[in-house]
Amino acid sequence: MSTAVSNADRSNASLSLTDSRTRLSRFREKIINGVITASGMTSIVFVALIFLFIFKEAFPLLSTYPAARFFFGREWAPTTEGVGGLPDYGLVPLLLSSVLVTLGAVALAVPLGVATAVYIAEVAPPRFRPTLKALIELLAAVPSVVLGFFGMMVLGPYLQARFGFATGDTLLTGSITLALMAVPTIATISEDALAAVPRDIREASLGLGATHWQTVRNVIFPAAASGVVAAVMLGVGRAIGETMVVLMVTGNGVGINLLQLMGVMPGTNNPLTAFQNVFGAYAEVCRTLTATVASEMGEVVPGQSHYHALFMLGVVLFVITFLINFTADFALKRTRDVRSGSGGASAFLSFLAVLGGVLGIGVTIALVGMAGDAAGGLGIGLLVATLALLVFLIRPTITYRRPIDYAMYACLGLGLLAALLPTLFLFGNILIGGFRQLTPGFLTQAPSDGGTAGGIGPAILGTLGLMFGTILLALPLGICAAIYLSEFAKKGPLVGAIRMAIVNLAGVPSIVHGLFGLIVFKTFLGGWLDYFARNSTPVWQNRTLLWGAATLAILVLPIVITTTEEALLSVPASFREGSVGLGATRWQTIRRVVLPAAIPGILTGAILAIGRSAGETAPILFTAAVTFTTDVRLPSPDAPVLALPYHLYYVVTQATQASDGLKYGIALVLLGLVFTVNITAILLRTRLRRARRW
Amino acid sequence: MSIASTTVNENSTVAEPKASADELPPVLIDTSDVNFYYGDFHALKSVSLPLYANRITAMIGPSGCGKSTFLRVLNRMNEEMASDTRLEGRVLLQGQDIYAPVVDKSTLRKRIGMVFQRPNPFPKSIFDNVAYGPTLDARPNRRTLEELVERSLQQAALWDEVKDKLKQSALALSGGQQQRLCIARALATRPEVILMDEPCSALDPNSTNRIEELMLELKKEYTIAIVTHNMQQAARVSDFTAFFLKGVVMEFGPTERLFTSPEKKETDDYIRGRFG
Repeated sequence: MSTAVSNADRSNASLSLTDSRTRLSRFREKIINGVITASGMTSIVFVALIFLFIFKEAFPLLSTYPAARFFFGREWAPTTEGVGGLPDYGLVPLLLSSVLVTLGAVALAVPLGVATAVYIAEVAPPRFRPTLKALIELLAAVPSVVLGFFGMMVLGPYLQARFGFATGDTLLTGSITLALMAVPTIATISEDALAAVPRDIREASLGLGATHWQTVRNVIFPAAASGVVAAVMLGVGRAIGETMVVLMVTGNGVGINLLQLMGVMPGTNNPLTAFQNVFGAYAEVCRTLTATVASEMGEVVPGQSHYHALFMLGVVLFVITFLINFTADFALKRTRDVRSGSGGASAFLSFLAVLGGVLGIGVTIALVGMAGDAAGGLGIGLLVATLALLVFLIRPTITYRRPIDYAMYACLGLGLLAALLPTLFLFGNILIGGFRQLTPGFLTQAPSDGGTAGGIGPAILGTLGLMFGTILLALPLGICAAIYLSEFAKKGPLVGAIRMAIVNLAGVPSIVHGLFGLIVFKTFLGGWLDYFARNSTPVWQNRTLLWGAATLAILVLPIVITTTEEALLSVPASFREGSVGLGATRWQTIRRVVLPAAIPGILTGAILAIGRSAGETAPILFTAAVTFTTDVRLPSPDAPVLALPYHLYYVVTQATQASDGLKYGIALVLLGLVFTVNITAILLRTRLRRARRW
Repeated sequence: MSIASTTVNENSTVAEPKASADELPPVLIDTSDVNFYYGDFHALKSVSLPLYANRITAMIGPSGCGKSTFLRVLNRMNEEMASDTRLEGRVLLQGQDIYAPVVDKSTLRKRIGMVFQRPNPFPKSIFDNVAYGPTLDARPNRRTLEELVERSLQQAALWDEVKDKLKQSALALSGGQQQRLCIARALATRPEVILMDEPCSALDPNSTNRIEELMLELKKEYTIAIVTHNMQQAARVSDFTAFFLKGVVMEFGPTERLFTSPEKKETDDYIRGRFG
């Protein structure tokens, strides 16, 4: 019934419908598809490997050591023999310390974070939103070792003098410093949740005659509640997994109040005393899970029960953060599904906003006090004035307001102030304390006299080497994984599992990454490499640049994957349709249309990942960083490195006779490096959003 | 408009309501008893339609009637945009079953080009947009490629407007120019059939006019299938029209006959604008 048409005009048109491409190009495409699919699975593989390897190193403890004594033991004394000739590896004081530090941080960070989010999402004029969000992001980028440094140099001494503590290194110092870190996390994710509330229900409320604040309180808060819960959970996850801050500012001991609370020392027979003890504990030193692993891992011999006990702490940390992230992810999914929430959310979030305002006043007063006796507080008055202008003079675009609305705006504004000011103060403090140190010699020479003098040339080069190595490893893998998720995968349980794995990989404490790098890269892979290379002395079983970069690459992988996927998803479907409609295969479409259009977004993710790898300390503690070298050259992959964050930690805590100027100088260089990288990413993204034409 | 309709009448060899079989041009694509499903949704019900060579066949009907789905059955684009699709029946291109397992979808789509509802040029230069298809699996030399791009742009009646700015971004063109660029891009793969999915729905009347003129020019060399919401457009440009309703072809025939003396009451209601 159908007649062939003569096509004299189309001499080169193939009359066959079979694949006319060469065997080679078909084979190549198959390989590429395989690589991409395999990369898509890596997140799951890494999460599983982290758990398996940490658990494998932890498990032997239980064969020689009673599990109950570990999990319920109230003393951690790994170097002295206790009952039965065994040292005490008691989890309770460490867990208690971690929980109390985190609780304190959350109590401060949640009201400030929520108030900041509400202010940015609802009160700030739309044209200021990108700037405020960028500022918050910048706060999130401050390396934890720099926060720890600030806690040690400024906050601790201030609290000690102000409240008469026995030492500046207290649980409270830890909580406040961690709060600085958790606020941006909570604020960013809460803001996303608030901004995602559909416009129509907002307009419906205003249309019924509700004021702006009534709308925020009664309609927006309930709708965004699950998202705020998720934000808080992720903030908790960050705080409990953070290592460097608590290592530097909490003293790493167990205070009397904690001992009494656990019943190790007499004095806790009624609930009221227990309550007093909890409060008292904040004025004393403590010893968290992460800090214990970080400070003791360097001194143990693999195979010792102490070594296994530290890995067991890693397991505990992994499980805690896994549960927290799981809950947060669940809450985030709920946000997307459910529109309505409970009335309780209205009241509670309003309460948090007011609390944010009160804390804002407190923080401002404290900062003014600190500025009196600390270097770098000169600009504080000016800053307060500027930000007060921002809070009170800039009116929201919404027209229907009542006095109560203004009161709430003031609370929210103060909350924002308290979220931004401390870190701006920190930045000013470090800038003023360190800029005199920035001489060519300091930047290029090797350190001398055990780090107390000389320059930081090798540390800068080492950090650059780590940044370069990390992105070299993480970028191809992350891009392929994102391509798999956005272009290949079909919705289903597998994709659900991959997304879950990415969320959890992003939440794994950096010290656990460090443990993983130690056991998998340095010990395991290093052992094999040395065996095959027949090295008479271990080369790869040492701390090397490569192992540090590999560990950091796993840490930044979720950043690369999520930003790349976002960039790919923002490429309109019509581009893909057009390409496929012209007979392009899936890979041809991705390579020639989708990837080129997504490059700026991918670049932003890569830069963010580079910035993160520059500031991380805990992952390189056991895998790459050493304390001293005189080699002022770019390190080779098999060489141990001096890195800025670790060098700062080392000089501040070990080379204590070094001048403050030297310490501030290192902090300034590190902060400057990380900020430069992050500001580049933010500017690139802003330009990109403005320039996008489709 | 008047020029367009005159051209139709002059070229039309199928204007007679009951043209006998031997006066009809050969069938290039034939579909028989096609059923198409998105998951459980039965989108096309027992559709049998021929596409005559070097003719324009229009698919009309209300939203959701299956006309776009049918168009995308012809180059298997439905499979790209949704998973869980299923087809029963046969679609033959010059006697070859395009759903046979040996068929390569890429090769098929190079022979059956497509122009989409909204102009969708790639964010590349005008030249690179047109050169996209021909360079996918081959590396034609520069000269051949330039000739091909020029010829495609000329066929799409865009050459004179863009010949001095081939290196500029395609996104800088107007909507109507972009759509003609997309047509040129489809022509560059040297297809036999061009499928057009409401190609003018996002364009102004002037640009629409130009595309319609272009279609009449193109049918000398190509076989065209067009989905349109605009009944006047179908009447102006097409030789054959199929009226779709709820996944079924209610009526198919020479355009003039279908618009002047429809056989079905539903067709009559629709072309008189009583629903849809």
